[in-house]
Amino acid sequence: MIRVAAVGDIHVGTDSAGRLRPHLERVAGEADVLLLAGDLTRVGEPEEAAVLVEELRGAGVPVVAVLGNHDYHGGCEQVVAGMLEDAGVRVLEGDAVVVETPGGTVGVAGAKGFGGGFLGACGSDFGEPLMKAFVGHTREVADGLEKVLADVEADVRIALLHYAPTETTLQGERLEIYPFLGSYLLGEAVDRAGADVVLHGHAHAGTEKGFTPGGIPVRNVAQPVLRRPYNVYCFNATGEVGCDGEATAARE
Amino acid sequence: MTEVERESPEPDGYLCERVRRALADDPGVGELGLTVSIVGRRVFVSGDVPTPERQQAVSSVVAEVLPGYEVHNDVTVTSLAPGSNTETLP
Repeated sequence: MIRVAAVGDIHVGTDSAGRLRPHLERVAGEADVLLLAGDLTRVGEPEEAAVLVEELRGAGVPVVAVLGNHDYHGGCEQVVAGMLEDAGVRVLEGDAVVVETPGGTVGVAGAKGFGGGFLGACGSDFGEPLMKAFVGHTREVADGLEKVLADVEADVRIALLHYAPTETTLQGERLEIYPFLGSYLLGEAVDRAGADVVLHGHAHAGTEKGFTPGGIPVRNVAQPVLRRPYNVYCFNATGEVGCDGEATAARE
Repeated sequence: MTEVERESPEPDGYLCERVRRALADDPGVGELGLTVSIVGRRVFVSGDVPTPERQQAVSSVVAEVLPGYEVHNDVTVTSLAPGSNTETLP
């Protein structure tokens, strides 16, 4: 059995010290790896990344992350990513990592992603240079994700994004902002490359469970959606009995 | 356009957007997803933020953007249930 803990949109700021760490100290007892789906800081300032690093020190398992739009807001995303990497967090952007766990290997291909909208209601790379740049960027990210994900060899293969690959996990968000929440191009990339699950954040008012047009399970792990410090997704990679599906009670 | 028309108050929708932008840009808040509504001279702000400090900061940001308006800060701090949910995927 392979156990993957995941959460996104934790928005750690300089006012967040000590809020998440007590919860993360339980991860090692429940999961083999922790995946973070972006918007890890409030606005991407190095001071916030410093608090984040301290909070994550309690995890006790390998941590793999992608950044989100908030992490880019301060213009210091490379510094933020560097601080996380220095602390042992693997930050993905168009690349992949394979993590060894007692139950097997977990391959994670990750990218922040970007917007553009979904099937039947999406932007086109047509018109003004800025519009072409907007949609073109998502297309470039999706093409890169497909390539790295297709090459991932592991018992469990996961695509980790910040932006949504499907509108099925956006129910609850206003329809008018769907194009700013994700793109079908991301879902198409995952469907072509294949995966066991896609994890994403970004849509705080969305729903947890969805699927790509190709039928791959999608989970919106934004913390405001989960209303828990993180969720754990289990995979029967070795044929063992999986998780019992019950909420794990807080340990004393 | 007459002088009276030029002095017409700014539509509430634009005022709401000014508040939303201020809440996103303010270093003490930095939130994109808060809902802002105006009824008369009352401003209602709702949504979730991760910390009490950011929740409290909402009031002062709104008051700075719309002085003289009555601020109703209905923003809540995200409450996390203890423990995690587990799910087995095929």
